[in-house]
Amino acid sequence: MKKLGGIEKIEDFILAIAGGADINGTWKGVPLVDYYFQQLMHIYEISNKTHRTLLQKYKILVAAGADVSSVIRGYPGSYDNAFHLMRRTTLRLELLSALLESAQAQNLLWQNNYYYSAVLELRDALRKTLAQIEQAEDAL
Amino acid sequence: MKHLGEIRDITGFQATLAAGADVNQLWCRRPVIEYFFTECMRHICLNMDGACFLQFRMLVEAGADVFPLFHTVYSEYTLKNLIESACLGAEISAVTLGALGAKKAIANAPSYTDRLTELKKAAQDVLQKIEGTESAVCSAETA
Repeated sequence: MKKLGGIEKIEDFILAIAGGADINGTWKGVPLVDYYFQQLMHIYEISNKTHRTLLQKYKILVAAGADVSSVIRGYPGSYDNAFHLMRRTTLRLELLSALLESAQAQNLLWQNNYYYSAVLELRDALRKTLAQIEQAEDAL
Repeated sequence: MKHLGEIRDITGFQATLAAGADVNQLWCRRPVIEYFFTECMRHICLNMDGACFLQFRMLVEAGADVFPLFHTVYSEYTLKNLIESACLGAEISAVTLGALGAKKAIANAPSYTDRLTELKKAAQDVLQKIEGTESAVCSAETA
């Protein structure tokens, strides 16, 4: 069976998992889930189709039960782990929050079609994150 | 009077603002607010010194025109990148935290406690601001 990391199309990726492909297998020397996560850490925009596919594959792997402990633990000397992702996301949100102190910025966000939908997408992502953080805090 | 863009010392920056410096002045041929925004974005990606955050915040609070940030010609470190990367980061964080065994792994890594608290606070803060303006926009549209 072809390795999951070598499959490009999402449909084939899903079929391979349904067919019993190893979700904890490796790709380019690291667990596939780590490989996707590391790629995602270096992406700064999601309007690109390739980037969206990468995110989708990561979500599918995780939903299929892939082991993310190495994503959480990370590797020595590398910033590509959940700890730094959360740190950077926090900094980005703090910067956005500083900008949103401006009434002019708030108006401009809702007046522009691109920013309007981007902000709604961010709102939904933040709701999901907060729900997961609350569950994680309960487990601590 | 010194240009705001060349002042690295926070106290000096604050004093210059208080002395009536033009918050919409240019620095490196672009609005100074855009310069500090780019510095903040670079700081996040390259783990640099974070003094630019305070300077950016002070400029916003002093009423600087933020319009240039919405129409910048620079291809990287733009507001578009900020919103999309924040959204992507939130999405991946949610997916990772929701993974099987993730919460147990996090419970075994004490350094995550502060991370989660910080992320939660920042997410709540932005969400509150988005929802606040969203409801204001919706009620203005229905009125």
